[in-house]
Amino acid sequence: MAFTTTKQAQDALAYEEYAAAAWPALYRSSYLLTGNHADAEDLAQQTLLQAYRSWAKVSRADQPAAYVRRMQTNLFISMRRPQGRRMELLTDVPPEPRPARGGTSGGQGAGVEDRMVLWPHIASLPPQQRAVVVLRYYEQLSEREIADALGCSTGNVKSTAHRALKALRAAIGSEAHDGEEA
Amino acid sequence: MTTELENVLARELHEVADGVRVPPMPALPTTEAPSATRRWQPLLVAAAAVLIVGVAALVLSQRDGGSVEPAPPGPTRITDPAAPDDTTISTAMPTAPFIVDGRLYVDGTEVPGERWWGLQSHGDVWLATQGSSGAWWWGGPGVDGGQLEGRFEQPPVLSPNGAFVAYVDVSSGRAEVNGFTTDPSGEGFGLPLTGLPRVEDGIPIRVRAVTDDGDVIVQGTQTSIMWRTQSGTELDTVDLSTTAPDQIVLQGTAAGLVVVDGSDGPTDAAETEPSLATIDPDGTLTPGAALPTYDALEVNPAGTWLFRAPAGTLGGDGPSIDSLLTQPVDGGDEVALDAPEGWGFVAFSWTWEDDETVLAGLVSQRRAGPVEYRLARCRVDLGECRAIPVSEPESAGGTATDAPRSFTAEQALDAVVGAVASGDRGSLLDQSVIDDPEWSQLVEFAAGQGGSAGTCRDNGGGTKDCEIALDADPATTYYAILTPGENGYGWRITYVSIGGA
Repeated sequence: MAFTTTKQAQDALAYEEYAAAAWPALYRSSYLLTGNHADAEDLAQQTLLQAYRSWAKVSRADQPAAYVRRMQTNLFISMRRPQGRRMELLTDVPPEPRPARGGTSGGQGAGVEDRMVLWPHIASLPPQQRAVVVLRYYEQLSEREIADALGCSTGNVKSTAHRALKALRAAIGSEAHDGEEA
Repeated sequence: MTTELENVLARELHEVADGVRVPPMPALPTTEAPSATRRWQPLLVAAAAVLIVGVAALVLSQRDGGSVEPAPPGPTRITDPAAPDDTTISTAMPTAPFIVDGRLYVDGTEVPGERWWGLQSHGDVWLATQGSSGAWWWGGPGVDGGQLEGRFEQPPVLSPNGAFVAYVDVSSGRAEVNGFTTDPSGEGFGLPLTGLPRVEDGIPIRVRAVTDDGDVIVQGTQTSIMWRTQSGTELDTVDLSTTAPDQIVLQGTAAGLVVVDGSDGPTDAAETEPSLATIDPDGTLTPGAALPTYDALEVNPAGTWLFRAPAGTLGGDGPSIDSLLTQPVDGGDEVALDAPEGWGFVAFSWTWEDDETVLAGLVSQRRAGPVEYRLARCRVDLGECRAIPVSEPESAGGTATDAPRSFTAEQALDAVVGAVASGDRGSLLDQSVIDDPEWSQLVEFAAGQGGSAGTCRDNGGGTKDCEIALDADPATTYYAILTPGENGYGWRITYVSIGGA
């Protein structure tokens, strides 16, 4: 079909441009979600593939970034939950928080991350809590936007964030943060 | 209010992100244009990219002797799905039971009654209810079926193989568990199981699952028993609170029971990760493959594929969902089944037609105009859905011209003109509403701009001659001929032309 050749070429070009521009940010947020480079690359790549498959919808969306973010978080949660369950099945004790490996060799990340207080414990959060933490405190999204990304209610976002903060607080020792309310 | 903890959290996340060295973007598919309907092709291209970047291949676990094994470790990988033999989705009227717009169809024929819902269908046996009556009906091959006797506060349950139905009957004022076999010579379970509380902590006890062996699992917030209805011993029960403490059975599937650990936290599959499990006659529950959280989940008759509405997607006021996710039960890639643009899958309207095909009701999502309903058939091996026509009973075996068309010719043409404007044929409810040459011609006429359908006139033989106004050339009138067609619109555009041509 003459039309589809031209149209497809235009769409492919638009998608290429979008993917190239979105890749760095997508990878960084994927790293925060997964905590390691292998899974981050997998998540970022699958998100772009899903965006590719739904490009007609993505490109027409009022906020393509929000549309893709929703894909990314849903992919992350669906990827991670079975893994967490498998770990529980295969071991008798809860897994140790997996220290995130920061930048690759030559990067500054590993050293910086080793000195961090909360980041090592974020890896031990359940997927939905981790997603809420990343969307709220890194992406700086509102509760409404997070709810849209996760396909849940704002009440669910609030309760999930509350549980995440509570878990982090417990992980680092409650005494260190007593009376911390600003 | 922001706490110090939150401040530290935000700072550390940004420091980590800033310190991440972003690798080059891997090769992504660009040789074919993006499409909402071409699902596997980019995956094939990406599979090569995955190999290039050295990602390990997915290791698929094998189920052993019917026992359920944990899903394979490692992140989801892109695999090369086996090419299906048939790359088309049939538009034939389903013979499997389904519900569209509150109408129940069984074996291609509408069952009398209205406002049907709650359909369960396994092995050609079906169970459904109407309105808010609380009455349930059932039917199956070679049996007359009919209304279930009793009063039910919770839905009766059909076993995955369709051989058994079990329920909690409260017509006597007490909870009495009972059921029957669904084969033509079927019979009841005998004496009902009594002595159970009707309500525990304000929640009615209910039948959670019936296994293919006829074992009925009844649970409340405290009660947890399995009634072995086919053991040959009258009222043979097993106390699951002893043999499988804290295990909450959510449903039975052809792949096993779906359970959650109720010892800590919520006991629903939306918040607690469920898993498959098998249950022995002595009530021992053996955990199996982990499952993703869900709001709704159905496993195919062979127990090999599942589809689900992810957790959180069916809450609130949303009566529909844009996509269902499907994947092999024992692990593997997850594929989205997208409803056509402008449509959503009606919540809980879905059922497996066979081991590869899902039937789901569609509801229009337009902000204006009447709500419309259709039926979609989705192939999990293709990752695609297609709207299919639903014929009225008297025309189920008739020709295309006999079939009812709930779209007028103007509406069908208008939908096509809208898709032409966006250049997205995939957004159509059913792409076969227009032939390829006519689509190309219209796109050329529209030149990337919008338009609308004008009036249509009878053109003989059931066809319609319709005008089209296109923004690209408002002074010119374009024409299209529509003929009755067996597709989601009930019409097919077979000819387009320019005024005076």
